Amino acid sequence: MTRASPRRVPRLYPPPRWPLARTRDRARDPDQALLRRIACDEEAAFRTLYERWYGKLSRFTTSRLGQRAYAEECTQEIFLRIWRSAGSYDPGKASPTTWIYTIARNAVIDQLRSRSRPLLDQRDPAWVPSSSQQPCDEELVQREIAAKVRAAVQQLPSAQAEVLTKSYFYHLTSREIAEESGIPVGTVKSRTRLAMERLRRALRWEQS
Amino acid sequence: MSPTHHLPQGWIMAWASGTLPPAHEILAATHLTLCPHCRARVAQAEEAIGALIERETCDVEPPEGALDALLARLDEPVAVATPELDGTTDPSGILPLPLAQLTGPFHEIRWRWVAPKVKGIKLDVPTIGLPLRLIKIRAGHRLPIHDHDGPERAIVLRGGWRDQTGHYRRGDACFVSEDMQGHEQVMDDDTDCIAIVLNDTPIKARNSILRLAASILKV
Repeated sequence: MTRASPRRVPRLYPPPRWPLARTRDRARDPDQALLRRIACDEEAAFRTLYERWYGKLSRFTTSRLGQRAYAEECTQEIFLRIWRSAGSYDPGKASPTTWIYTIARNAVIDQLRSRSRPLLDQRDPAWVPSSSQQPCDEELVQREIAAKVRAAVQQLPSAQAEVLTKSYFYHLTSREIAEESGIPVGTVKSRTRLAMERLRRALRWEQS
Repeated sequence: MSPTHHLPQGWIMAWASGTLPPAHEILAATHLTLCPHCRARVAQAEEAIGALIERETCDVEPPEGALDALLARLDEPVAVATPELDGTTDPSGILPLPLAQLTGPFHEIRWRWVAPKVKGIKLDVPTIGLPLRLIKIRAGHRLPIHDHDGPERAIVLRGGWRDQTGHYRRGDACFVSEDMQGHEQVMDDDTDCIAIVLNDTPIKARNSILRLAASILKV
């Protein structure tokens, strides 16, 4: 059950309370700086973030929802969610891009279905916590793994990264990717397979 | 104790990209609640998609007036982001939240007979095959040997079983491929087994009398 509130969700900002080490490698990330300012209700920062992200999010919602009008409505909803929850963004847990992406994904799912995505909630009596005793240690490990993931993705050849983006971000089928990119369906499939294989090797992911 | 049988990588990527069908999502959410290892894998998959987005360039211009309309809505009242859980969790802790929200508390479930020593309920979630079911199988029971025409996915919630592929306990994901023939499951002795199960097609008992009974009773 939700309760109406005239105020936005409580802010973590300002001032940021994250240890410097956790944020150092993302300190130069412009989106992180923008989110910090948005958390302080800076409309100018929100405008900049909007300009930086509108294209990607608009294409994302259009590809997932189909109709332009619904997609535009959902894109607006995503930006509203970013504005309202920027204060809860924790750079120790995810990059700004990943955080914005999860907001966009959930907004699209909410738009597509009458029933929301199933809840994962740490307050659930059945929740099994991570075995790590120290939350800080766990975050450090997560940060290292996240850096490794990003490095593996950055090293993918452009053609392979493109098919993965179209498949997992825009949710296009192999046929749609082939038509859009002007390549045979077989090439799309082989690029996807090669890209996933590279990521599996780099990150020791298990086989599908 | 954490599960030792995990979700396939394809499911992890599909969960992260938000493209799992509803019944699959329930199975995945149930496992993820019980499995910190797979939650970490989801975080990696989301990070990978985030990194892919960073490589993407897209120069779509917003419609005229869209930003102004958005700015005018920034101070609208909003619902609190974190919903209350009271009344939706299972106090026994057997059913993770994604299931408890469909069934209510475990001790209030009205089980129906499915087969000897097997009870179950159908969950109200759209599927392409058979309904998603919560099942209860008597401790120590040996299920009749059966064949699969389609895949079977199950998450154990209490008790466990052994089959040709391993030993499955709470939280474990038991995914059986469509070509599994002669599937033989024996429940653990310690307690009745509770699991959620999704089959695309009916399983076929090897025993012809059981097969006939199943077709008459439609189980």
